[in-house]
Amino acid sequence: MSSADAISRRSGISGLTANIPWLLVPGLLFIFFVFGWPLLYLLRMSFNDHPGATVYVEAWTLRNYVFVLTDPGMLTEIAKTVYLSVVTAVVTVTAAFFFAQFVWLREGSARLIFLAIALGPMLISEVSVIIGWRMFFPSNGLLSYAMTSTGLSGQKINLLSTELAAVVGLSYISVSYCFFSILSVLNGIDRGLLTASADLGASPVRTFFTVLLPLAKGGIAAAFTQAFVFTMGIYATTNALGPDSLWTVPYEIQLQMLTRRNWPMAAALSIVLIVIIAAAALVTQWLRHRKGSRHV
Amino acid sequence: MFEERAFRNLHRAFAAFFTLYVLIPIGITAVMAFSDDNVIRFPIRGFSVRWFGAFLNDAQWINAAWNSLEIAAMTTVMSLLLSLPTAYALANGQRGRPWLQTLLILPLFVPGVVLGISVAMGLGSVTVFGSELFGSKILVACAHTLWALPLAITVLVPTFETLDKSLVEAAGDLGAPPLLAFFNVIVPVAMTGIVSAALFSFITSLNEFIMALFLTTRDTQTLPVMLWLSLRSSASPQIAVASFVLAGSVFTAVGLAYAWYSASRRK
Amino acid sequence: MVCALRLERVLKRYGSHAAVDEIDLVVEQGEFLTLLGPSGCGKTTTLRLIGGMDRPDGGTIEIMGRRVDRLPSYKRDTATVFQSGALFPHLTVAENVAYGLKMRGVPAADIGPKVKRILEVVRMPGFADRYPEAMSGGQRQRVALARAMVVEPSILLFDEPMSALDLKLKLELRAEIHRLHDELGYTAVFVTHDQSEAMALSDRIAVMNKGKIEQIGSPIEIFERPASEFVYTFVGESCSLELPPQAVSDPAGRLFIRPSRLGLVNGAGAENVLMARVTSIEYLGGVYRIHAETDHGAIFFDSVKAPDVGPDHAIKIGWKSADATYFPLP
Repeated sequence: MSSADAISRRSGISGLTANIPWLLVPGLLFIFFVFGWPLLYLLRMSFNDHPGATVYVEAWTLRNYVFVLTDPGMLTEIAKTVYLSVVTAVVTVTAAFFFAQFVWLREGSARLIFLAIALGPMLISEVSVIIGWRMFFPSNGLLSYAMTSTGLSGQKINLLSTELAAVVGLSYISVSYCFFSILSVLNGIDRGLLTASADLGASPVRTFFTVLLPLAKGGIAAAFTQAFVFTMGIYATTNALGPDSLWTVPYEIQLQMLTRRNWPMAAALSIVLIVIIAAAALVTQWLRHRKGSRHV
Repeated sequence: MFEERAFRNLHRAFAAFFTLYVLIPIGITAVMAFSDDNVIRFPIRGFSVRWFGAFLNDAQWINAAWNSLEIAAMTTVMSLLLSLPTAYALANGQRGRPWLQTLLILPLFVPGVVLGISVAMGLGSVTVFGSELFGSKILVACAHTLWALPLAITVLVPTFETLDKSLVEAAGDLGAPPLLAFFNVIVPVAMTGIVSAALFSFITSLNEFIMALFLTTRDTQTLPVMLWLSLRSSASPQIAVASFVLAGSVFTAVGLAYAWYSASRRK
Repeated sequence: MVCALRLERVLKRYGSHAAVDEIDLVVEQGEFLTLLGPSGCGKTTTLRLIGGMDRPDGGTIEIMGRRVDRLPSYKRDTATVFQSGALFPHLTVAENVAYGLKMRGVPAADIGPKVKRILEVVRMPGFADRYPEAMSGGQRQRVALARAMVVEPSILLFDEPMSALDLKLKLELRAEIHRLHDELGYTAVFVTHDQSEAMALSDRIAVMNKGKIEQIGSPIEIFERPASEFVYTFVGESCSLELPPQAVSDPAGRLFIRPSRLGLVNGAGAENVLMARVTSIEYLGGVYRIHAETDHGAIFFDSVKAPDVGPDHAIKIGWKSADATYFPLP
């Protein structure tokens, strides 16, 4: 088929398709008014002043940003947020990868059941996840009961308010998304490659590192970005399962907004958070493309 | 080969562990909701449905549950109304498409806390027809649509891309005006995608509570917001009941969509 | 009598490329006209312009004397049989066929009988309650044909309706379309790249190339009196000989001839004779095809009886002057 026919098929301007640009208008208007405008407002707010009793006073000052980026307390919070997100992303991607690989190798109804299990965390509200783990980790929770009643532990144990509990809860929130990005990449890989590699005498470990991991790299990178970006924005889980000292940037934002009633500071923190997330997404995107081009 | 078998068993053990990890929060809530105890603790000393009774008789919980359903329904409707034309246009147009699609999906990657406070600041003081937008259910639904819309678009664009273009042309050729052709042909043929988009929108709204936390008042509070606010103050299994009801409504929605799907396939 | 379809200087551009380059075309009522050409020649685009699926960039289109080129598809009195059939998968055969009637506001009471009748006409009476996915490709195209015919459009449009079918079904459906045209006398514009389809079905054929109509005429005219080198080579088999300026007439050119009009000559019995050397002989079932090399280029022709020559033999080929067409080089 020549290009002219192909073009005519693709851009067919029937009654419906003639109106195509107009069809985008409602969606774009909505995104502008409910997303774009409030974000611009937020940006403007971040330059306002907060002298005390009032929520904000109109001004053009960089004071909020200077505070966020120089105050040792704030800097610790930023560092902790990034640290927690990286740890969570690593844990989540690892778990998601091995489970995706497991599901990838199954067939039929077993596969469907495991897919349903992997879908589970996506369907549960963050607050229900928190409540669930809060019944598992404390000293009167299920974990402690299971350990003492089976004799694995002599005394009650409490893991609530630890970083472990926070990471467990946080990774629960993004694990489904990571699982499905990785599985979609694995599904594009011929399973026969594993057999071929084994036939050639490679051990499972070697096959994993030399065949599977390089092929699934793209999916893993995407999953990592996803987990990192999601975790950066969460505070409820961190706050409800982690130690009281674990203050993250999103937590500070809601504290400034709801408790301190310091809107300009909340706005400045939000902008900083968005910038960090965008930078992380761009860097991983860039790394992926750079690596990709080196291979081609 | 010994090494290979060891690896296979290790992998199985991991899968079992992962399954357990996924099921713990769900299972523990389901069990605790039926506890007869006055506080949340293990071992459970007896089972009853008395906390369900307490939940149903508590006007504030019931109000929150209805608010959640109402907001989720509004979000679903808005998300569909906006995503159907948008996704159709994206699937059929080509000029500037990647750019536009990225723009429309962007809100999905902005944290709920940031969206919540920006909508609260930017639109909270706006009044429409004499009533304040802040604290209204419609504003919460709008905020939830920021996440529901990208999800719906992501589901619908591939659906519309795989749709045979000549079906629409055939409808027009036989005399159907564009809007009629859309409802007579595109909607039924793309129904599976549309139902999935609706389901995603509904669940997203039902579960979301950070944006809702910044945008609701005591009267318009949703179920997950109320759960979050009573997390530390309530130690009774009632909170497990409320959490169970929330998860239950999500699973019911998924179940209904699945039932529809298998019924429509059997036809 | 007003003509069913009139195109005047119709133009359709994609970027700088003219897919349909200012073509003129008239189709009389009851006529079966085929747009024939290779893919990319603009035939499908022309059909889409007539049906309103695409809008022209210039020129006028009239259907039954009414100008329609600015009207959307749903306001034009045409009905199309699509390449894929384009049956609505969620509707039964009867609902598919009824769709156009409903859209045209035919009273509900009349729809049932009309659908029933047309399904009998296309010989699919037992299929009313089936869904398209439960039918073969040939059956689907019959339903598509019924769906288009039932609305009794001013013009029926066919967009390569048989290209997705295998040969047997193709021949069946072709005979069906032919029979229906003889019986019902509808006006049709039929697009195809298959010349045997065009020959078998058409009252007239318009051969298209690069967005232009090269020649328009009856199948016999197209085959016997091709107006251009393109038509000569695209329709039917042909051999061509490169002629230097002095050979036949003054300018250099090419002589075209159908292989079926070429023959071996022994004496001096033919008007024109050319020496050639056999390069190969193929048995095609029933006939032998002889390929030979002349000073003016390679040729081939068929012989029913086994040739008494082999490769590398010198032969004499002859033809009648009236059977050959000469085109000067541009």
